[in-house]
Amino acid sequence: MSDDLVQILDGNTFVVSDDRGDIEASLTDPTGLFSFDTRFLSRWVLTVNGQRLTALSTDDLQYFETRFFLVPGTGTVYVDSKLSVIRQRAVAEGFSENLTILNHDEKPVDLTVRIEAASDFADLFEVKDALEKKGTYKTSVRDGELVLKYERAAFGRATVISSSVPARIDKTGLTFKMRIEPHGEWETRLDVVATPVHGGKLAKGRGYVRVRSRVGMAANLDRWIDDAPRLESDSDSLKATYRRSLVDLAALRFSPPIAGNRSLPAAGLPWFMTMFGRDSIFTSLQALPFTPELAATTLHALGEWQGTRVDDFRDEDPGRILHELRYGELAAFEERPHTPYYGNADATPLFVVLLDEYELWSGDRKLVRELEYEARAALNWIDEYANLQGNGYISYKRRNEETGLENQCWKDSWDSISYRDGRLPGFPRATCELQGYAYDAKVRGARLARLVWKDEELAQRLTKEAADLKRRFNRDFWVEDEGYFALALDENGEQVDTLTSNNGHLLWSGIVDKSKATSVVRHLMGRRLFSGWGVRTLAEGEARYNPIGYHVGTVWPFDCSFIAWGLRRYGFKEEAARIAAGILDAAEFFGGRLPEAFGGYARSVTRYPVQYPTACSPQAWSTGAPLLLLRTMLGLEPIGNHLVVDPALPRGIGRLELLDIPGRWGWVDAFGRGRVDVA
Amino acid sequence: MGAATSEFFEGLSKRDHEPLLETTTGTVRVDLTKNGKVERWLLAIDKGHVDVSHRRAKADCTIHASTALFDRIARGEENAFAAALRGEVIIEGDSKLLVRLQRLLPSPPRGNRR
Repeated sequence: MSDDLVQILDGNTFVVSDDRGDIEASLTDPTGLFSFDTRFLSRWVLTVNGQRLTALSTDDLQYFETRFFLVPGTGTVYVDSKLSVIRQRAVAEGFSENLTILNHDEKPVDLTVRIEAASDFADLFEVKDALEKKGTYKTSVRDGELVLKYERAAFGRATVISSSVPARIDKTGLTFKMRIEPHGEWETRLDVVATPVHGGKLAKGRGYVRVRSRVGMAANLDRWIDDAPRLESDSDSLKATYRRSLVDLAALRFSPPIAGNRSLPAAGLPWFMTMFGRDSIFTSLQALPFTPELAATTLHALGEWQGTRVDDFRDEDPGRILHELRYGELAAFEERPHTPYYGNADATPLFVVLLDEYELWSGDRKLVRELEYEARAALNWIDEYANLQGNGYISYKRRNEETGLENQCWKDSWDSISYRDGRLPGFPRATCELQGYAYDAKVRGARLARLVWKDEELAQRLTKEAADLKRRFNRDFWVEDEGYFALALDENGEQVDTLTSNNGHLLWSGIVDKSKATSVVRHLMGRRLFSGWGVRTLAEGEARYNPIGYHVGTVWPFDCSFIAWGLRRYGFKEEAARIAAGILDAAEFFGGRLPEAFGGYARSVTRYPVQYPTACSPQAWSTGAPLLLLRTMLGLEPIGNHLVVDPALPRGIGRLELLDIPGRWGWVDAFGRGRVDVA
Repeated sequence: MGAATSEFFEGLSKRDHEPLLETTTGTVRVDLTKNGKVERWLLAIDKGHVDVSHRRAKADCTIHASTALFDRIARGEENAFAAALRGEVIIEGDSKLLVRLQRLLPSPPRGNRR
């Protein structure tokens, strides 16, 4: 998202405009009012006496509300106006905009105010890929409303525009004529409502958009922050980053229609405001000590949508957890497979991992009992449907070759999985971290089977399978000459031998033999992987290494936060503190909001982290990274009904207190002091 | 009346216990329209047990579709959720129950391509 665009949102309804509040979208230009993956306004332009306006300032009041201060004219050097124009906009069923014009003159003024409105009803995927529309448009004026409509067969979407002050409405907009007295003001409220159309009729009032009042949303945000643990520290930067993370996490909450009023973390704002299996699970794991209800809703919603059939178009199997769900026209007409799409190989074992971790923190065995069927089906998927090569490892190969995903792991770009010499392996591919997740899922599944489902036989079987998987994995994936784990096994079961950050996820999963951990950590913290800010996705020196390559050299804060967790798991406290220090220092450069990824340049060379240009900010799992790093720095670990605190903090943080950490223990406080030298 | 639809619903009522509906309690009414006539199915789901009838009653979730479309859904040839997004299946009430019901539907033919 470029800096001069302004965005506000609530759930998956959002507005992106220029700094004047205007929207002038083209098919490929990502501005507009969007809801449920459809653009409902592509043009929204304000003029006063035929003149466009100039922005003096923009106030982001909240993530769902903003205010534009404008003056008429587009003078480039000096603006001298007797008029001020204020647009205050908040997301609602679409959005509402209070338009206020102030006359600062001693004389009255006669004005013609015009709002141009239009919609292309583009699907979000069309905005990204510039596709043509197949339906028909209809615009009508009736009962003081401008209705923009798009229909294709039974599929229909409409935008209804109205004003509190009567306007002259034509098919391209609304016109107001008024006289404003000396030092007087004029005001109207504009309402833009996004709604589905059923059988030619607007589904207004019973549509899919839930409305929360502006006051309700503000109170909700306050409560959200109040309910989270309080952080006190000598480090102002850490306090600011923590607060930014909580507010951004609030903005990223998404209530799918099946979840009632409860919310889960969507993947990223604004283009990925929907359920993603992987992103929602990772973010829920990161946020567990802070906002455990996100995990509960994620588990519920992903459980509801768990695959039950074999569907090649959607890459669905029984037991598989979804990858991405979309509501737009292309999904509806099955031109894209997102209803939902299941093509990922990690969310299914991670579903079990999250369920167990959630129980460890919350003690909520009721949810574990409710999701017994789904958890068993997920565990079954690992061996029955994901073992594509019959070698006992999770592999992936898409069955939807037109619109499915090639790489079904978190590094999902086309060139992310390569040999050291840069060649790309064939399919199926068994990336290493998937085996770690499968191992962890079996270990944790065994615990839940014994503790909650009272199935000793399953517990014993899973324990045995986990031990066997660990033994084979440490043999088959270990790159003997170098002392790290290969990125993947290729379609022939041979090693894809590049050095990558995936080794850190293996530590997190627990699949690494203790005897191999020191060597793995030496690589993670070594010159080729550790940049000084964090761990590069691909090591320097590999053929495809590029410090600004999406998954082949950049540093991902989310990745680093799980690596830090892995380092703690194997007792490497100081190394975990070094990674935390690097990522949190980087966060300070980004105003507390970590990007999805930043450049893999050495810290000693650039002195500041170089942002990777991505469309989405904030990104959920980047937002969650500081939260997980707080956990790893304080060494928070639930053991029975207690929370163990074992701090190892970078010296620069000084004193750190995290107060009222919720869990099965009620609320406890954790204290630490920076003693680890990270320089 | 759609043959596949009848087979699907009657199959549900014959199952002693459906594990996929273990945690579900609620009523679903399916109103299917053919030549202006409405055929009603009422599913009363109680923790895995499904009682199927043609009773006329209010339900937690009502699904409206054409008989022909629902027959394709019951054969696994059409995806119920995509049809709902297209406006060919209209849902009133708790949409979660549609998602639950969809989990019981058969797989589409292999190699289905759009």
